[in-house]
Amino acid sequence: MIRLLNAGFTRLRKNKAFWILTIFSIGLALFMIYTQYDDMKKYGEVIEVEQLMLNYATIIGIVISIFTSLFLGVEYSDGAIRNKISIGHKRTNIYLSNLIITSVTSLFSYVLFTIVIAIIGISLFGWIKMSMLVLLKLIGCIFVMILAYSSIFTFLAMIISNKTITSITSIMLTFVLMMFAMVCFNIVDMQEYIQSGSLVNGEMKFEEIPNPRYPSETKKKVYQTLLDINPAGQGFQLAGRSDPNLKVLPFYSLEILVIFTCTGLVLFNKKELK
Amino acid sequence: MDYVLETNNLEKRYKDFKALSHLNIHIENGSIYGLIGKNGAGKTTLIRIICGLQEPTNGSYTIYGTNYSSGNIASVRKRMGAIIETPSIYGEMSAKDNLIEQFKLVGMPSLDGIDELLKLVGLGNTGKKKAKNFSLGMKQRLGIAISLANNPDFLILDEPINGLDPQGIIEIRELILKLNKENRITILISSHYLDELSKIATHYGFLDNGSIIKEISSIELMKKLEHKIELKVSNQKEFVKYFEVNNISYDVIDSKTINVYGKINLSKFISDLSKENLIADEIHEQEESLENYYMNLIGGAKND
Repeated sequence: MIRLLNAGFTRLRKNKAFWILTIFSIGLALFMIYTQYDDMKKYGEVIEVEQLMLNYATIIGIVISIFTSLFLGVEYSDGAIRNKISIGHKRTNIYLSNLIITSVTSLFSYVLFTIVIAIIGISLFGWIKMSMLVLLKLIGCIFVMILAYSSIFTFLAMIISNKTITSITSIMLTFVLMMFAMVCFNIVDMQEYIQSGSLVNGEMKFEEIPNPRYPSETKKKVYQTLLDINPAGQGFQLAGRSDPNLKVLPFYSLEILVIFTCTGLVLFNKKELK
Repeated sequence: MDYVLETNNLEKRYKDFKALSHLNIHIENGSIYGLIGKNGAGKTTLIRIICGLQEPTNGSYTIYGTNYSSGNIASVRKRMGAIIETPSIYGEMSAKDNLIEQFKLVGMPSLDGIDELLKLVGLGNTGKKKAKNFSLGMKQRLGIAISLANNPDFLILDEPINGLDPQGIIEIRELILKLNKENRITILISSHYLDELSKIATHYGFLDNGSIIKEISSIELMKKLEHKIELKVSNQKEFVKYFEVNNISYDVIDSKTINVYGKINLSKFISDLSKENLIADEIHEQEESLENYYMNLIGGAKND
């Protein structure tokens, strides 16, 4: 396992996708700081630096899916997995080492982004306004969410032998998860009463009426659970600070990590390689 | 016999297709074993199974005496190097970086041997050129260098000369011979280029329809391919005694048939025999090429 990790991290340092990911993380942080600073100067908006730190959680799934499929897709197309097995590495170790490398790299991307925001952002927008403990809890949940994402995309890359199909499937899945999260979010966030306007004696009158599409408590709970399980849903809630249930989100992420990794290990150990 | 690889009725099925059927192969330590078979005969399937990429449907195999189902098989595979179909190379990396990667994968304590290995395969001057820009021959040689990173005792080369130009074929051939003679590496090499294999192999396995139909050493094979005279005789013992005394190379095929090998003047040979009162019932002069031998084997297997 140590040999696999040593070789994997050596390859990572020479890997184009890794350097693109690194530059993207720094570039995105700088871009966010610039646009927010511009808004602050032009419109006098109050910018919370902690919000900038959390924003990356909404799109990091796309970034991880692209990086993982490119980095691990080569393992099949260049015959690396074949080579590793034929020189005596166990399939379980190969799978786990790849999961560790993609997880560490994805976490690195988020940490790098946060460090750039912290260093430049605090000097421009001032110190963090929210409770440091809450911020650390939110970032901790994002870390576990990143591990869940990595386990899903590692699973796909290790089970699908074709680099192109892996990339397309991973990116499509990310967008499906994001869209599904938005649908759930809209249902959960639906207003119980809506305003209805009517013309009475030539005068417009507004009154609050019950929303006919307002979900039942059970339906709301189901969609909230789906939103909590979905890593994209977690990302939206954590970045939006919409009172996420910080006690359950990491457990759902860990469940995803365990389920996808165990299933992936079983399938990869049985997989007939060419 | 000290076998590096031995299979016992190995079978591999893909749904209804039987890729390997009761395959038995025996590779002696120190040999260059040429696995000959046409496309689709099962060569690559066999190699994939030996390398652990696929599981046999039935039967078993041992590498250095360790059964494939044993927990130890992964550590035994650390004594192996392999190129299966195409070499396992990271195209975005240089030859040296590919070897650094492999040295770390096999857990070499230092990176000291990399330059020597690159020189050994003739890639000492490739610098930072990415492997994806190498010629086919260069890629094959880099693949061999990678498979040698762990100083293997057993090297598996699947179609290593496919697509190479004549110069490339000669270079790979010389490298294989060098590795076998100087480094004492046992080599399994699969190919459908019979002539090329005949220049390096010490043993042959002829594969057809997923089964080994014949295993033979190159010495035995050369005897069979030599110019030979087939004698049908009734007094076999006297003929044998004469061949022994006169140091003539021969094989007793059955109770009435003797094959005599070597470049022999037929009329002088008959005259010499008659001087000793040795009269054959029938005499046939034969000469066989490796290609004919292979085709006869396959034909024979089909007729069985």
